[in-house]
Amino acid sequence: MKIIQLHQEEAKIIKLAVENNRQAQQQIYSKYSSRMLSVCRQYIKDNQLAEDVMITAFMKVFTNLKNFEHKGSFEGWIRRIMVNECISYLRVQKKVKFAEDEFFTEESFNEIDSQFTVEQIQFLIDALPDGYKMVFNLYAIEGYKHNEIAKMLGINEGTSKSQLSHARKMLQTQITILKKQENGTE
Amino acid sequence: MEPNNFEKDFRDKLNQRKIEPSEKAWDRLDAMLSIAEEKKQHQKKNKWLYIAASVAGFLFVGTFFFNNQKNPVENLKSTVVVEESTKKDTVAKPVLKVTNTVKTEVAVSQKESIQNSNKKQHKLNQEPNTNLKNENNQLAESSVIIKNNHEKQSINNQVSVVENSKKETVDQLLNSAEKTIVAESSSKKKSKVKINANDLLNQVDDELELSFRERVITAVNKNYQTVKVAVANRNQQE
Repeated sequence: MKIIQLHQEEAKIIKLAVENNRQAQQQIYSKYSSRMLSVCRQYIKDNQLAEDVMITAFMKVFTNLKNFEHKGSFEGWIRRIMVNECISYLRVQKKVKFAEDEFFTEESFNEIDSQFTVEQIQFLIDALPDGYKMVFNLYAIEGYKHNEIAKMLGINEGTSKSQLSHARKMLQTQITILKKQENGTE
Repeated sequence: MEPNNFEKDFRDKLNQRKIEPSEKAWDRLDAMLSIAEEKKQHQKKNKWLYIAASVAGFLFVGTFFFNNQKNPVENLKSTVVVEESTKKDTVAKPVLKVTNTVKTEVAVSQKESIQNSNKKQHKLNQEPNTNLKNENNQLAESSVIIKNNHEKQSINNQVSVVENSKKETVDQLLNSAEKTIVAESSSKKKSKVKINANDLLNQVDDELELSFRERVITAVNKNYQTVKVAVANRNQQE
């Protein structure tokens, strides 16, 4: 019952926000902004830049709010807009290009069992080149499939796979270094 | 390529993370939203302006286009009318003179005193008549009737005056006659031309159609002749 009530309340707020009710818009913003800034921060290393991208993405959320069909979760819809905005920022502003190699290994790193803090995880992701970072975030964190990623980034599916395997290899080496450091200090 | 353990850990931890944006962030978004709203309102207003302007533009262009189509025909007509009317004027003048000379014979036998009074009467009667003609065609008809009366009067005068005329010298008569001619011609010229205005227009309209046809025919003929001559010459040369 509580969930249904919450859903109805959200629908009301969305309706008001569509009519440019500033209070409703602020309510939506304050509810999701912290989580969405976290999403943007995954892709963009600089905090200020991540915030700028989040604001432009929220502009898109509010201007396209009438197109939201109340089918999936509202948060998921906002999150998709955020991710797309981050990708277009990286591709347009930073002109990220993808090496069109299609060499990828299907190794698994299941033996690695990370016990890192969020800051450490973010540090590891920040260390990745932008191309690897995008594919890794989209695949491992957002849960998109390779064909979806290929469409979003305008690359081949093979390129997406190779980018992911490169990112994983890089992360693996970084993780082992970090672990060694942690073990060394202990 | 299943997600690895560490990736699951990454995902869980990152999805739980919250980063509070700066306080300025909402203000900036607020400003951007109000700018967007203003723009939308402007666009709505501008939409109507654009629609109104385009309708007005179409009307203007449309009228201009239609006028352009009509104008050449009208221009042709008007120019031809002027030419014809000038021709008519030149033709009409000698005719008037002829009538005047006829009238001089009548006038020769008139006494000066009577003539003077007649002149005054003529002028008085004709001036209002001309004005009336300009105003109405019906009145013009009435003035014609009045003129007929005048002519009758003048004939009556002739009969009465012929008896007295013997006493007058020839020179005096000639002088007075000249004066009457000048006065009558100056006053009657105008009236005669004006009476004929409608007839003239009708005639001109008929003649215009004819002349246009004739022009086309002559032009075709000319071209045909030149081609014919050219072909004939070439044949001769060969």
